[in-house]
Amino acid sequence: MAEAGTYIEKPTVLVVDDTPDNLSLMSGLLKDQYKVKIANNGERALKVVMTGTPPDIILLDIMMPVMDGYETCRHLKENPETRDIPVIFLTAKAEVEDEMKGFELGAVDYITKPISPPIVLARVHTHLQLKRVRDYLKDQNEFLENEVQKRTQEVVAVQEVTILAMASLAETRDNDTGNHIRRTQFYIRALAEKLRNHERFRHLLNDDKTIDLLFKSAPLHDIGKVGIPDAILLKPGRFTPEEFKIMKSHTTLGRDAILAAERRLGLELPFLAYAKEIAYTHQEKWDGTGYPEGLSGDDIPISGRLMAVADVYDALICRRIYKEGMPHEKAVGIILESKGSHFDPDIVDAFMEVAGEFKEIAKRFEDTDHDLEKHAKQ
Amino acid sequence: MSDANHEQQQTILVVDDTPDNLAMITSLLRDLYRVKVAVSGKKALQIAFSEEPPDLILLDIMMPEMDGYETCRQLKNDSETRDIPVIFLTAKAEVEDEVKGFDLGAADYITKPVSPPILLARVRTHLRLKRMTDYLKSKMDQAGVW
Repeated sequence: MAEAGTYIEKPTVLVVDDTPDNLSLMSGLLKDQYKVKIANNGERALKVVMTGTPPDIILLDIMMPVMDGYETCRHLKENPETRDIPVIFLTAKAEVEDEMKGFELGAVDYITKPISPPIVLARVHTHLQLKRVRDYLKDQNEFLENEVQKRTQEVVAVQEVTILAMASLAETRDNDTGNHIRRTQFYIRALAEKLRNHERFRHLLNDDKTIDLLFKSAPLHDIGKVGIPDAILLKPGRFTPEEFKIMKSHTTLGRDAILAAERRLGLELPFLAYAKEIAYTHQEKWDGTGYPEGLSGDDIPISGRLMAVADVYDALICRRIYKEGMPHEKAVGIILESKGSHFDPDIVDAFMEVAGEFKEIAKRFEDTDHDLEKHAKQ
Repeated sequence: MSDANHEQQQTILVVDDTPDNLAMITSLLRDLYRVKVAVSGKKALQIAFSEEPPDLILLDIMMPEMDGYETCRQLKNDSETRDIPVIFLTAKAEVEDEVKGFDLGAADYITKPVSPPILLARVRTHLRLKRMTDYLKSKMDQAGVW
């Protein structure tokens, strides 16, 4: 806003009166400071308002044939597009009752005829100024709201990029092609959606934000593998007990990597809470025979329990350069056999219900020959 | 900015040498605003320059000693009171007088006998305009661009 009172363009005043003399009197008075449009009846006035650039203010005679000023005003105030244009009534009579009527219809003031030029100029100026300041403040509010929304989107985008960047680090070290991360992400969401109204899980899962965070955090489950030596990580055959012990440390390494990042930042990020949990507990088993803590039952965070099912299913069905994937039905059978031992029984039940979805997800992000070869060369 | 809440706290100074007029105008405004009254231009200036200046002044023109024009001139001559909108209350409605009032910096006129809806509409308009302009100015000051 440069200067209050200066317009870049002259504001437009629409004068509506059925008497030509009044129109020319008003035009003569206003034309130095404003762009003046005229109409000699209410219907014409509405047409002028609706076509082209709407006027900034309307001076409206009350007594007119066909459509009078009251009716014209009512039409203007009913339409959201014209509602905010200030209307000043021009009136020969000055009765209180009539004035009430005009204000109730949404007029902002009255000018009594015969008109006094300084009064006309002052009232037009006042209401244009008021409208202008109000429009400006409204624009500013809208601008600020948009800005807040934009920033929020940026923050969310940064979170996603952070997670994906970390996940892709782990990915490049492993045999995985990247599709494993995509698939497990979608599996965990399918399971969580299925269980969100389940009585045991409702309090943990029944909101969109949680499910979205699980979805976004899942890719970090194996982030700790960046700390496992290649000789072990990429070994095709079985691990020696010593190697397996090192391999198992990827859970602790993963959680610690995220913790260390948070410490460096000097703040704990809520969006990484699930990522830490998943990295640390996705190898735990329902019966307490998993690692690293040997937790059992409900002591294993829900995120880790969901991830366990998703991760095992994917390990079973996925192709490697050296092996074909297991058929879906066989993998489902193995998961079902591990109900209550490896996996939370209720999660397995949910898995059985959404197994079809798992199959579709697997197909959607299937490793092609090209993916596998490309990755093998890296 | 909700108008209803803010208008409660805005103060209007009514200046008229006729107690009946003061009583009548006060009764119209007091449900919506804080109302202060003054029976002379001199008293009005005292209130306008006090710690709690009004947000708007309704000023009678014809008063003994210091009339409304002189009161307005003094208000508009001082930077502390210059931005308080002044609406003249006048019995006569002659164009010449109106030019004089606007030249002195008045915001508008209200002709006596006062029409309640007109009084309320003009008061509301100028209080709103002042409040929004003040708000914008404070924002511009903060941003250093005014």
